Amino acid sequence: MRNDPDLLIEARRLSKHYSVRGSAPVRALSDVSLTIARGERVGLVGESGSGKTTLANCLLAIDDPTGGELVLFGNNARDLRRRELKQLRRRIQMVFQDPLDSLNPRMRVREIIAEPLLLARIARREREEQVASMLDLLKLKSALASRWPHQLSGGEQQRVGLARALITKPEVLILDEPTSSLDVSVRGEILDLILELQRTFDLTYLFISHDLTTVQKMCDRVLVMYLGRVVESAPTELLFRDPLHPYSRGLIGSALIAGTPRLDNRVELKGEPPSPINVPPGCALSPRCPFARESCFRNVQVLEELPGSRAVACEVVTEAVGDRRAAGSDR
Amino acid sequence: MSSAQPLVEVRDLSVVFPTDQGPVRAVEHVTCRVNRDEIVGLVGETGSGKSTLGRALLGYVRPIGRVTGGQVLFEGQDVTRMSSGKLRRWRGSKASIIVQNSRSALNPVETIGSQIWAVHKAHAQVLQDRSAVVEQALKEVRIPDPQRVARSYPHQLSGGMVQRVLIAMAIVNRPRLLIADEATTGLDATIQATVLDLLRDLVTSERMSSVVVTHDFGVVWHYCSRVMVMRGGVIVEEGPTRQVFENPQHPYTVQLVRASALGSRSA
Repeated sequence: MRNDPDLLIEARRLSKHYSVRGSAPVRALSDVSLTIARGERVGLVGESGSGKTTLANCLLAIDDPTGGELVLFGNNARDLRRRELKQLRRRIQMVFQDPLDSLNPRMRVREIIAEPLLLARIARREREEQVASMLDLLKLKSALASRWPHQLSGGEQQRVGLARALITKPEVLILDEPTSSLDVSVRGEILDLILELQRTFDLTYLFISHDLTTVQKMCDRVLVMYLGRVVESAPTELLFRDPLHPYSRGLIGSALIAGTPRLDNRVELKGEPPSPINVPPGCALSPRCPFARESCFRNVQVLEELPGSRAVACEVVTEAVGDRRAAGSDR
Repeated sequence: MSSAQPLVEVRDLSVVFPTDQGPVRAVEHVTCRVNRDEIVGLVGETGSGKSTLGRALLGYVRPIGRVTGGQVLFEGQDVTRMSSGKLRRWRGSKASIIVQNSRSALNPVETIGSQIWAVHKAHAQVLQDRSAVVEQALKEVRIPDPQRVARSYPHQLSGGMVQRVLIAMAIVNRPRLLIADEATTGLDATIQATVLDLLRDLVTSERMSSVVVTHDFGVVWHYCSRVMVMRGGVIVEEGPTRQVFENPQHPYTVQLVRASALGSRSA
């Protein structure tokens, strides 16, 4: 096993197939490999049903993958005892999409934020101090501590969610659509706050979103998912300027970002994504892809590394890039 | 801007919803217009009154709400003073609306074809052949297999398909005004853009006017030539989209623009 202290999370060909009575399994996640290193801000984009949340659940070891391996802080999850896994998991925290649904309605704000400390058996005095400093850090008035979740605004609720996630001083945050249920003007504040916290604590995060505008602002590197697989991985700026995978070109080409014209080389994808119960054979995009050739309908596409620290799961693209480079070196 | 011809003129309109906790003033003294052949954005957050105003343009206020003042002049006729029967007849041929979560706007136990036909039948001056009308309507919204979709029930279609069907129904009688109230909110990105492209193409080619009610400034920037920004029942800013985006005047618009344009600013 590799022992790179800065490699916090590593997934090796993770799969999660849910069996369904009387039907084919739901292939929510297939062969996903990724690494998250210390200080990285990684984005995960894809449409509903692409497997974003399943991947998050597997990385947190909330869900057991049905295939592949998960390495957390240098430890293979498979070799760990339940207790050890629980210890490691404390170093990763999650922030959820719907802030109200994820807060216990029968606890006051103070109790919600302190709960992880209680579980870690931290003394009362210490808990109170930490909660107070957390409120301060998240720009929540101390008077809010004795309120109930439903008495807070959406933005305040999400700050409480962040406070609860951060209070155990985790190394990694998994943010699953943390702002998509908030009104636009509040969204900006929360995103700025997350960026500020990331810098203050040197946090590492995985930011899951279907909103490309948000991901562009929040991440250094982005993974694009389609029907349970990562189809492209690239530095954010490069991905948004020049996406390579036909699906990325369709997805990013359809982003409606104010002040930014639509992508020039966008791809019109035919039809709509099929359900993860009926993942097409070969490349899952092939029935919708304008560049698909015969082999695409047969061969599952795997991520191939390309120059510029990017990777693409499409043989048509990899070939074209290879040709371009060969032509370039002839000159 | 003086050359623009208004299709709808709203003058000092106020709409109130009586509730147990007292009246909610959803729209307060709003004066605005929708020009002919334009796509105008009506942008604001939850509770800003944008949907109430959008609906008031079609006379959808009663019985829950009440117009407490002002007028909505649609080609010179005051919509707020029409009887509900007259309003219903008038609306079908002049104006229609596409809403969010459109599946609930369809009858679950009737086929798509018969629902499209019902809309046409209720308002058409001249009745045409049923299957021709339905097929044509579905083809217009680029549904690849119109005959199959016509025989389908709403639950058999995807979200994007349902949205197309709703657009087909909304334009089957060639209204002058089409209100799209968060019509693509909740759809996936790739589908949202295709549906909005379709909507824009139809509105332009049929020379309709459209009001796009949305919370998303990105949608406005890409599809609307003019924008009205609403907050607390009041239009706080109005102008050509690019101008408002590049040089917002009202502090609330500044906030809205800032939050929507993350991509264009470097962090």
